[in-house]
Amino acid sequence: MLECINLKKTFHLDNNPDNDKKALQGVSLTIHDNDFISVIGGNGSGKTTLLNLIAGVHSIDEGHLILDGVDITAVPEYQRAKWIGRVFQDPMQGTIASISLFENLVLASNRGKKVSPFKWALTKEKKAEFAELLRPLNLGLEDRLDAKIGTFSGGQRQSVTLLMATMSTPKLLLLDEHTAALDPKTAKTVMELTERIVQANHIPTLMITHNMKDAIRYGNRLIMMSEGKIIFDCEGEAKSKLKIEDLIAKFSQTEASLEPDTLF
Amino acid sequence: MSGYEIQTFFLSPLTSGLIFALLALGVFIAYRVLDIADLSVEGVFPLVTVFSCFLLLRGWNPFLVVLLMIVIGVLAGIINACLSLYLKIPPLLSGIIMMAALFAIAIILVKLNNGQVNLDASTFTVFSWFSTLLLNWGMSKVWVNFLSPILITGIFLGLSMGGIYFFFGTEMGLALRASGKNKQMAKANGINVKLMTIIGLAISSLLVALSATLYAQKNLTGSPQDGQGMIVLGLSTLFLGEAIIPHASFKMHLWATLGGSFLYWYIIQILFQFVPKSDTFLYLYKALLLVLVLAVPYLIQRYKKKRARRLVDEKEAKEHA
Repeated sequence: MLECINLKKTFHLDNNPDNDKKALQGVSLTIHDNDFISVIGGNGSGKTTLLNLIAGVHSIDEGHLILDGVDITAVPEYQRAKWIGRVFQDPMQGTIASISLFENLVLASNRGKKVSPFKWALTKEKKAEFAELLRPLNLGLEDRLDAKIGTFSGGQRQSVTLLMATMSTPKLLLLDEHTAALDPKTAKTVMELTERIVQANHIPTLMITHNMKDAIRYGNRLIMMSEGKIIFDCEGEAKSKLKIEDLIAKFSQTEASLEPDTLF
Repeated sequence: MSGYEIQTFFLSPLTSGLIFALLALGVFIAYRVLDIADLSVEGVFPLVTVFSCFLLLRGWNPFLVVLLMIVIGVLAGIINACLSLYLKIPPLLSGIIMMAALFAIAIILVKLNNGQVNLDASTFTVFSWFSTLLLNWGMSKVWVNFLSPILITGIFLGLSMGGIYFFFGTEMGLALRASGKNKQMAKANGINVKLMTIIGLAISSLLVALSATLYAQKNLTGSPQDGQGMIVLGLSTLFLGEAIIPHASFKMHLWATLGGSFLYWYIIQILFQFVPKSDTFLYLYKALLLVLVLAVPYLIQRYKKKRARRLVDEKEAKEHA
């Protein structure tokens, strides 16, 4: 369980306070162990900032992050990776193009584990183990462990990143529009894979999406953000009854001056 | 050419190639593995050659000197990395700062030596130790003169390459490679990118220092001028190797660097047939060589693309006609 308590973050463009960007203006959110939350909101609403504060990319101005009772507000990004898995929007970001799939997986499999640094990393046992992990993806990747990830398609790379983020089960999975760069068919495949992995391993998940259909279709909870605040939070049955029109109406209420089309 | 000259022609680039392959491997780790254009090479190299001479002149054991120089290399790498990581000095500048500072220390050491930059031919070095060893084993003097430097540098290089290959295949080595290639991915997978950068630059400088102390002990000289053109040399070697040897895997990249080093020194050897070694324009020729090494593969590729394009166009034109 992750508790975000009154998170605040301001980005300073220069020394002029007028140009400050108040990205988060006090966000409190509790992510329960059975939560799969989709986060929606317009550009600049603070969704990505919220994700980055949780992941540790940016420092937190005010507020606290409590993960399973431990305050992790001051823990650096790379140490939080022990508990937090991440998939990025850009398929290039989550994997290393110029080394093999096998080597990428070895790196990811060490996340959150104590490994002796001088042990030979690329063992046959691991290779066999990874082949078994890749087989259920039905992408044929189990035969391409020695191929460089750079030769993979965007969908394959996102699937691999997803597998890497979850292979040692994290306490929280952060998905930052991880299907936005993919074509609709591939995006659907990756989304279904996401749901399958998350459900099979019971991973609490926070997913940003620009696709309102996905936001409604996947997960048990939906939150909407605007101007650095959570303006709507619903779960369970209420969430499953949501329609796209409802969400657009919500948006129009808070950001009346903006056309819904420009928000997504 | 006499028999002796022919032997020199073919064998002397081998020794240089082996010694400077160590430097090139150092440049490879900074430039290719960590993706940092590290210029501190030009400071580490002369400091180590000068310091090696300084100590050998005072009768230090040459192996102890090698060991101490390795420590100095590691320290230089750590300081260099910390300048950019913790004081936020851009890596290019921190390299230049190191270069200037270490060069200054080298000059001070020469002053302490009353300006002496050359060692006596009878100085006890790693090379003279190994030659004596081979002579005692019954090898003829002619062969010892030719083979001894190649063998002993070969041993140092072999150990280093083996060590590098092993290290970069371990959990930590893999993490280090990840840090250089994709910081975001590395951090998301729990890798301490800063620590990896420090270790990487330390290894890089270690190799440069090893190369420098061997250079000093082989040539019995150590002057602050030794660092001149070292970054050009290292990069030329690296790019030459990459241009001629396929280097898809990490292991092949190491071999490519070694191959590039031999090729570079044979090219220089051929160059010496036309210009005297003392030629003032030598550095200019070397810079020109680097430009060629960088530009030629690109130009060849462009030409190939254009030709492929032209062929396709001609084919289409024919079909239309």
